[in-house]
Amino acid sequence: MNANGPGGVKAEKDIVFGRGGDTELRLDVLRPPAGSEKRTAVVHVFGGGYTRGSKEDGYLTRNAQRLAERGYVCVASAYRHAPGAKWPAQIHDLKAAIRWTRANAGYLGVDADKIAIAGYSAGGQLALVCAGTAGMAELEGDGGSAGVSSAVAACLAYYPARVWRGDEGPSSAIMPDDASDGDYAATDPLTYAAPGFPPTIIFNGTADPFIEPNTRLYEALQQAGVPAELHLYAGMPHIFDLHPGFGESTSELCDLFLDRYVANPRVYEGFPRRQQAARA
Amino acid sequence: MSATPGSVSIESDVVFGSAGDLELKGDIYHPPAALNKRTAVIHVYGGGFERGNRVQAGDAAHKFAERGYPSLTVWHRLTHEGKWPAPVHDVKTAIRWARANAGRLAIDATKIAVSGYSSGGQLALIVAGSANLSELEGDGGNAGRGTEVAACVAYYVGGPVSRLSNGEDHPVMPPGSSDEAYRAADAITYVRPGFPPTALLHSTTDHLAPFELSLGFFHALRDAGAKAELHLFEGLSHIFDRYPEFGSACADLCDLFLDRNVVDPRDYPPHTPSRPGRARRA
Repeated sequence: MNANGPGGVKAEKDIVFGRGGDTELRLDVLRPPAGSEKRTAVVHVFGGGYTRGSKEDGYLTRNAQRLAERGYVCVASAYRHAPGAKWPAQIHDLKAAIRWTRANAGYLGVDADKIAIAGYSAGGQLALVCAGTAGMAELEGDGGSAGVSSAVAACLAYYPARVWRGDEGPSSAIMPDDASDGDYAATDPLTYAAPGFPPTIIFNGTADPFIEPNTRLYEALQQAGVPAELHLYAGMPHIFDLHPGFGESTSELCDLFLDRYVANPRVYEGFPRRQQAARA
Repeated sequence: MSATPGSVSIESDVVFGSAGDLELKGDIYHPPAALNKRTAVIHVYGGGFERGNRVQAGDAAHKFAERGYPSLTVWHRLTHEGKWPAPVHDVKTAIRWARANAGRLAIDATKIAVSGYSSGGQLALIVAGSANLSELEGDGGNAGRGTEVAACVAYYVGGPVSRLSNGEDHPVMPPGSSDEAYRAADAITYVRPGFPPTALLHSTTDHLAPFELSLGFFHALRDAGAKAELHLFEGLSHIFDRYPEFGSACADLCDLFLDRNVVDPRDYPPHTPSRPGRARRA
């Protein structure tokens, strides 16, 4: 299926990209309008507390549509739900999607080194872990496109959630009953905040409780010298980008970020040296 | 005053008050009438209190006006024209003038925000936190009007004034200023519950004004229970909004912020995840 949709964006639905256990894994592709291509792919990861959600969810499809209109090839990937599939099955599935995107870079019209990952809520946590664990053999899985790198060039983290011990909800659903402290630590993006972590942009509302771990993550990335942005919208709740105006705002900021760090890497000049002696 | 329908019109050299023998002047950027959000923004330039002029805030004022905000770039006195708190007096004079001239600006007199740049950001935060504080009001005009603001925006806020490394006073401070006088010139002193909603924008590679100033101020406002917003951009220097794409992005963020906190104040409900079973039955 290849139809011209709104904004000149072309959609291809339900391409099989791999296998997670006995489950066939599928993804959707949105291609940018002719002439706007930035040769950069963004793999989108839905949220839903690990137990629900799909690549068709509205916050995801609207973001993917907006970024496609701005020139990015958007890939919306499935992954297995908990509790049927436990950690790190979700990471295995998503890394298979990244590998498929890289293996199919020519088909998608992107450069193989220009693949970013975007995730929402629980998907934000999964995206951050994928971003921070390139080359870690135990997290690759065998879902398909073996031998291809799962590294990403940037991460877009929308109100990323966390897994923590003692949570009776999503965390207990995704973690095995006998999970160790080390297993829990392996789910925390903070564990991977070190030099070499890809450039990352984090969005959160200040009325969303994940503001605390996400601000800590941002500060750790800055400490590690990782290019990182933090955008905290006053008074906004979880999944605030569904409200009018906010999705456009986050898409504008993502485009500015991806464009200068991935699509067209460039450095902005400092404030003129002549004036740098001036007191601020 | 020149005006074409649908575009921003600029009214230059409007006298909004006085400081001794000096006339204080500003430029008004009027939005297209059909876009007017009836919320004024007073723009405060930077330059470390020693240099600079209101033209520096013109691009930002224009961008705010394009988005519907009547904008006023205001002169405040520099070191050689008046010592602290002269610049605070002047910005407050501009706020009183805007309130007294709500009809001329086509605004609601309760909807006046302040936006400052670099050291002007420090001034804007002080003004936002010190509404109607008699010793900071001055006598520049429109006495008796309130100086409360409905919101504050600070771009790459500059640090508070401090003594020089050799122990001498900062040039803008009166000679022999006490520690207390320096504290009174630091916006953090005015953080309290009820501080107006405030948005802080900064770049993390700003070597002139470290982004930790905005991050710290954000945390202080949150700890006090005030409403705060923070945007930390990566890889850009001081005054990064001079790049048009970032100037537009910042103005868009400020528009979203002012629209929901001042123009049409509203709260957003917490997100409540739908339970899969219930959602399917629906």
